[in-house]
Order: sequence, then structure tokens, then C-alpha cells
Amino acid sequence: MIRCVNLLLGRGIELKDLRREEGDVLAWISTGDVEKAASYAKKSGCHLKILREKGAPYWKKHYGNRYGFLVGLILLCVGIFFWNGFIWNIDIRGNKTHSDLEVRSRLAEYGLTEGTWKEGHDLEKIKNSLLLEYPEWSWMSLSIQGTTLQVRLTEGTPPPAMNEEGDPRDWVADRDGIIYSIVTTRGTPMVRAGDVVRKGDVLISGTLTIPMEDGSTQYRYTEAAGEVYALCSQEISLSQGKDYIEKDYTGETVHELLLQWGDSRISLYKPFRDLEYADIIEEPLGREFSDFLGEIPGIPRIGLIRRTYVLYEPIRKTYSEDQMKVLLGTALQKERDRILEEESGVLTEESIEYRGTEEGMEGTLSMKMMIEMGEEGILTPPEAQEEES
Amino acid sequence: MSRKERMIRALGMPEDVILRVPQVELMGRGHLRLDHYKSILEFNENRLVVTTSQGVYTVEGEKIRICFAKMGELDVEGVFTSVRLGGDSA
Repeated sequence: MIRCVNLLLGRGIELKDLRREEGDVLAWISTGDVEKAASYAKKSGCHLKILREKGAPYWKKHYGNRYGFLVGLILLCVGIFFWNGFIWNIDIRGNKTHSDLEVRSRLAEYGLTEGTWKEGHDLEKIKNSLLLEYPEWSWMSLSIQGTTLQVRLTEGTPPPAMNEEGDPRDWVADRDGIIYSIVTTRGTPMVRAGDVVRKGDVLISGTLTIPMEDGSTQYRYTEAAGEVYALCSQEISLSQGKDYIEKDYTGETVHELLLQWGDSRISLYKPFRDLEYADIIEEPLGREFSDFLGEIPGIPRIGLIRRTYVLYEPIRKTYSEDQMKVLLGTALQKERDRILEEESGVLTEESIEYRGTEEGMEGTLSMKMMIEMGEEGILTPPEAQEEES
Repeated sequence: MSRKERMIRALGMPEDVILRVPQVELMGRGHLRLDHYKSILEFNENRLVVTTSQGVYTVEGEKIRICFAKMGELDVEGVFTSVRLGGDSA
């Protein structure tokens, strides 16, 4: 056996992973050397047996004449190449003020959508056009990596809006109040801190008075603007009835089956009993058809709904005075918070008064709040101002 | 020293290449490379004996296998217990 190995090595045949196993010598040899090795082995009185084949020559030997396989392989390669020629994904990062959908729709206008051919897009030109279109984007990069269009954005701080002068106007009080402070940016201030103003009073006039050298006066008109803060009073009144119904649940539930067809419902099974005093819980029964088929335009939503009536016995009860105060107080404060939120005001003072009525109780919340006052008003000419004064 | 050897030394030529002097490179206890051997005398899992122009080399150990072999070059792996010059003493 060793003689055979020496003979093979001596004839220039290379052996790999040579080892002894139960008297045999196992080794890997090149496919091209197999025939030579077999004849040398025979000469040295040994028998060469192929146990396993691998590598490209083996594939060529076994599958080289299978043209279908070869064609399939070529088609696969062509398919992969063709597949890689399209944009299949758009990855957008860095957008804050504009949604992905908005960016995608803008890109689509330049022909960059999923499923389009990668070539033929001037990304630099598209990028420059988009940067001109969206000045809030300080930097942008468009690149195609594999089959993904990568969109990277950096949004800069938006430039302050130019305060362009519009048509001449006055800035007038939009409610009654006491002026707390006034800062005029354009026009002539007509009130001072501490002045009491009524709704409609001119706070900042759009008329500019210019004294001339000859003693005469000329007028110019502008769009009055400024910040006026005022203290305003407001009252909120709410009432609370003393009677209420307490639900004593019987523990009994009744079911009704409904068929949902679009927005309308048809009762398939309705229990024959009085369901006036019951809480109603509705839940879809099973799955809707659209869950399987998706939303199809023109086809209404179809599904089953189970309506459960949780029955109770109504018990008529009466609130105590303290309970009514608590309920009214909570409702008044909620309304107060809503008004402050709406007016962007700051609460400075408040008081609540309760008054008993036949039906229950009435509560009045009086509050003072600091708000930014003023609205656009029609310019009052100087003659009219003089007449008023 | 033969005349050929003396001449090669005098000329400063590489002895191992010209004279095919065996070279043994042992890395740790697990890897051995032997150049300029002549033939394999014995080979099994525990023992490898080869002849060279300078005599017999014996490698003993466990799980001995020849990773790569071609004329004059052997690359051996295993867990070696001894590598010695000389034939069978066991």
C-alpha cells in the first residue's frame, strides 16, 4: 500500500488529507489524475476505488450534458440581474415635518417609485429640484444601493417669516378688559397700561401723524401691529340637577344578533322583552369579510355584531348639597381649563358661588385671566378720531 | 564532506536546495512540514517513517494524517509525541 502511495507521489500526483483507515489508505486526488492513479495502483498491486467526488469537474462530469439545467441556471442569473435592475424599496430617513408618504409622492412625480428601472434617473438633478422646492431641507442625498433608493434628509431651522406690511388697518380690542402692557411694532398706540377698554376700541391706530416744517400735519397709513396684553373677566355658569338614577344591575344579560351592511344594521335576532333599562355592549362576532378579502371599493363592510344588554333596575336617588357642589365645582373647573386653553390665557384670579334652585343647584365661576388682546379692525380716519375725542 | 558539498559551500550556494538536504519544520506538537524526503516507509495513525538523503526520520504520536503530499514535500498533522532521526527502535 505504501509502495503505491510512493509511486503516485513519485509520478507527480498530489495527495490531500492522506490517512489510514482499517488497512486502507484514503486520500483526495485531482479528478484529472484519477485515471493515471488507477493504472499506477494496478501496477503496484493495489486497487483504487472512488468513494466520493466533489468540486467543479465532478459537476461538469455529471451535469455538463443536462442543457435544461444549464439553461435554467443561465435564466436564473439573467433573472437576478434583471431583478437587480429595479428599485424595489425606498428608504427615507431624516424627514420630520414631511411624512414619508409626502416625500414618496414628490419622488414619484420625478418617476422614482418602487418597481421602476434604476437607470435613467438623474438623481443629482432631482435632488437639486427638491431642495429648491423645500427650502426647509438644508441637505439631501439620493442614492441607489442595491435595489433600495436611499433618501437622506437634514431639515434646517425654518427662516423667520417676513413680516410684510399689508393693507392699512387698526388693531382693536376684541373684548372688554384692562390693559396690562402694550408694545407697538407698527402704528400709533392709542391706549396705555391701566386703561379700561371696551370691545371695538382702537388699541393701535394705523394712522401715522407726521408734523411738517410749515406747521401742517400729514397722515400716512399703515397696518397696525403690536402685542397687547390685558386682564379680562369672564363668568361661567352651570347647573346641576338633584335627581339621578342609580343602576342596580340584576346580573342578567340578553343578546341580540345584528348584520352589519355598510353603515346600516339589520337585526337578525331580537329578544322579546323590555330593554329600556340596560347598558349596551357591542362586539364584532367572528371576522368581517374585508378581513379576508381586504377593502374592496364599492363593496360595503359586511359582518356580524353581537349586542349584549346588561340589565339593571333603575333606582331614583337625590344628591346631597355637598355632592352637588363637588360635581358642579369639577364641571366648572373643567370648563375654565377649556377656556384658558382656547384663549392661551393665564389665570390670575377666580371665585365660585353656588346657589340653590328648585331643580338642584347653580354654580358661577368668576375668573380674571391675562390674555393677548386685539384683532384686525377697519382703519379709522384722523377726522373721525378727532370727532370721537 | 563530499567534494560537491565543499564546492557548494565555497560558492556560497544554498545547500538545502542544491543538495536536497531534508528540512523539518515543527510547529508546536501538532504540525510538521518536511521537505526533500525520498519516500514513505511506514504510515499509520500513530507512526510515520520517511527516508531522506540524510537517513530515516520517524514521527510518532496520535491521529497522524498527511494533509498534503507531493514529491519531496509532506505536510503532517497530529498530536506528536516524538520526532527523531533514525529508524525503528521500538
